[in-house]
Amino acid sequence: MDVDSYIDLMPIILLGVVFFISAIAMLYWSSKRGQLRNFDDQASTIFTEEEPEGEISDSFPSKY
Amino acid sequence: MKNLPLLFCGIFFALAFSFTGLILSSNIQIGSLNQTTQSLDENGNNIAGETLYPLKTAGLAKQGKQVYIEMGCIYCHTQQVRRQGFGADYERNWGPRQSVARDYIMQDRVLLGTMRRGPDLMHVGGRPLNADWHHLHLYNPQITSKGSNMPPFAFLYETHKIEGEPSPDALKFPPNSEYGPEEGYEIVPTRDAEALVEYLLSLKLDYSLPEAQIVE
Amino acid sequence: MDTAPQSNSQIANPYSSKDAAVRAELSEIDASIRSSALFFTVSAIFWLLAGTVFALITAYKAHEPAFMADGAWSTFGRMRSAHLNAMALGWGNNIIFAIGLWIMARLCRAPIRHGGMLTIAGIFWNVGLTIGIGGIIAGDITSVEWLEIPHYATPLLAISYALIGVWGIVAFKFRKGEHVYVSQWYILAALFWFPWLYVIAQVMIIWFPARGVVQSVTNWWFAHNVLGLWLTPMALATAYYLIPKVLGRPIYSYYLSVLGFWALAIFYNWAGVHHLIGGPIPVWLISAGIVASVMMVIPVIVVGLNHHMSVVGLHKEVWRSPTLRFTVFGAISYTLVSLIGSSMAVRSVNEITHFTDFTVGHAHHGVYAFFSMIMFGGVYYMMPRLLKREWPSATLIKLHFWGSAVGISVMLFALHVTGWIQGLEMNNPDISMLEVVQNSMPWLKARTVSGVLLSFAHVAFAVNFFWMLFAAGAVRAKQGPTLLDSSSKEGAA
Repeated sequence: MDVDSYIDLMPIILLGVVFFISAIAMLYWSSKRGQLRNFDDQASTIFTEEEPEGEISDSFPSKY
Repeated sequence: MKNLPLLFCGIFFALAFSFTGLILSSNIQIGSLNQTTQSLDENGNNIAGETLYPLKTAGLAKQGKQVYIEMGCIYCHTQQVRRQGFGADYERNWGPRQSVARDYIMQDRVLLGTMRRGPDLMHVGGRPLNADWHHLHLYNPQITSKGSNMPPFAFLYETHKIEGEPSPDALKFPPNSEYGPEEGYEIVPTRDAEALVEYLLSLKLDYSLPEAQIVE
Repeated sequence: MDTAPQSNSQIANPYSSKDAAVRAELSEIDASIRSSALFFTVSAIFWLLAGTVFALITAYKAHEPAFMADGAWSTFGRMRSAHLNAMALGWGNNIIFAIGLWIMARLCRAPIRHGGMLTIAGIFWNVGLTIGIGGIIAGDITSVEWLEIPHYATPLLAISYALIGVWGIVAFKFRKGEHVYVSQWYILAALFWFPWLYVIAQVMIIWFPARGVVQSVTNWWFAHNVLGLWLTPMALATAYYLIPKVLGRPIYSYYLSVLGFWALAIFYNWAGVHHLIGGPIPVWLISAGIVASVMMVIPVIVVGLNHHMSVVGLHKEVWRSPTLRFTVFGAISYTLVSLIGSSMAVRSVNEITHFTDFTVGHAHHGVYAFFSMIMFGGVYYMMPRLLKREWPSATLIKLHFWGSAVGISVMLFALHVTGWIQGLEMNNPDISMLEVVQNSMPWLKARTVSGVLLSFAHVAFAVNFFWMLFAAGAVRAKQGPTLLDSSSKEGAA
């Protein structure tokens, strides 16, 4: 691949840099806002009073 | 990460990145390709007076391409020749050189294909197969290629009673072929079949491009 | 216990409340989406059966080319495309609309508003799809892989999809409570990604064709992402919901699930170009595709590990749950199919597997053994809660499971082996193309046999489903809001 085609690719390389920086910025912002705290708690949000944690909630029907 | 806008930004950027990287940048790179002469002069310009390649498919062959699309030929036949040393495309005589991006710029619909249940067709028009062979092969592949799993396209042909002179277009079956018509009948191609064969014969990779020369 | 209903938004943690009104919330949510979810599931099952018929015809024609060869409508290319679109957009999308939105609504803890609109959009989707597949068979097929539906049907599909997608995103917007679960991320992302992919592909290939092989790049960016950014996230969302939910144990590591999500989001959408390795496109594009495909090992291992650790020690429970039998089969297949996929992107492997039935086998590995199996699991979990009835027959569930599991295993074995042989033989110019085809015949026949097994499985599934739907007098309604009152637990053995 020659040099010319790399120059063709400058826009995409620049965009890559921009995306990368914005990804870092978003991560920083979200950690500042406490979005990353108490992470593992979210794993139990699927359980409810009706279908609580610690109970198997599916089995084969009894008939046939 | 419970925040919708934040989540959404991440989701958006993930796809935007590949969209820009793959689609937009290849559009910039390939979209600017033009027809060219087989080789260039010392300044890198087209040589005046020479034919520009690739040629555009026109006329009956263009209608044939539509038939090719409607019959779903692409699901078993590719139109791309890989470089020498990567697969055996070259050794199988599927093309005298590798196909490159510029070979496809004049096509409204690019039919690269991803499956080779049968041979590649990029250069089928350059192989020693004439229209008669193609018609027999399309009518029933078992006539020309016993054991093939290509479906017969007999519905692109009509059986007529011979009245007076036999038609010059009638299929030329080998003698005593079990697939031939009854005595006194002949099988002639419809316009779709004619067009399809015209298209197949027009598929040739017999020209060089500056970036892809045919090496003898 | 205070029985006066109060505004849910006032309760910090509604799901641990002793308030009866709050406890019934789940049933209320289920009720809000019942009619549309049922509509989508019924449609999905009809498309599954139709797709199965197309599949059988296609599989049989692959080794008996003279079969049904009298008309253009039933030629191989059209039957194959009808099969693909019926399965991907008929079965796949309908079941996603049913299960994905149902899980979304449950996790958002809010009833779906104006659920009737969803059903109307669903009707349009299925009408559009019927026109589209009819068009394929009638000869208006576009011959663009995964986008065969003719141009006159696609706007209808796009509009009805937009409505459905917006409903999912709106449900997320009006969710209750602080927490968001990883399944919601996957569903939200997929609902957003799919229309983007679809519209770009339609515009750049069909409406305003881009120049030359830009079309092919767009085509495979789209087609691979239908798997990667639509079917995969939806199936993973379902697995992430069902596995911990059924076992009653939270997912092993929430951190890992987040890592898996973002790794998938970043890498998967670059991977599609590996379908063009050796093709006439710039080398750097293909290299990017190969790198991304190999990087996919990260999210796959992460997700696989997470699912495995969540199940560890509870294998008996998995086996006793129809839902998890299917779902865990699918989750294991995800790890396998993705690792095989990553290795197929390596140039030296691709040189052999490209252009062969290996790819066909791989596609079925992904869409059936992974995606569809998880979705079957989802249906087995969702239906009793929507209808408040049990599945009428355990035997039919077992038939479905074994038919699917054995059928798909036979198919994958046959196609991968024959694909590999085809590849080696095609790369050897001394072996004629006709011989290559001949050598694949026994394997293609085995594929047809596997198709028959899968058909039995699908019929068993459909019979059980409609039996349950119409109750047939034999099925008693369950007590309580869902199956899960401890008093009504039964049939564990």
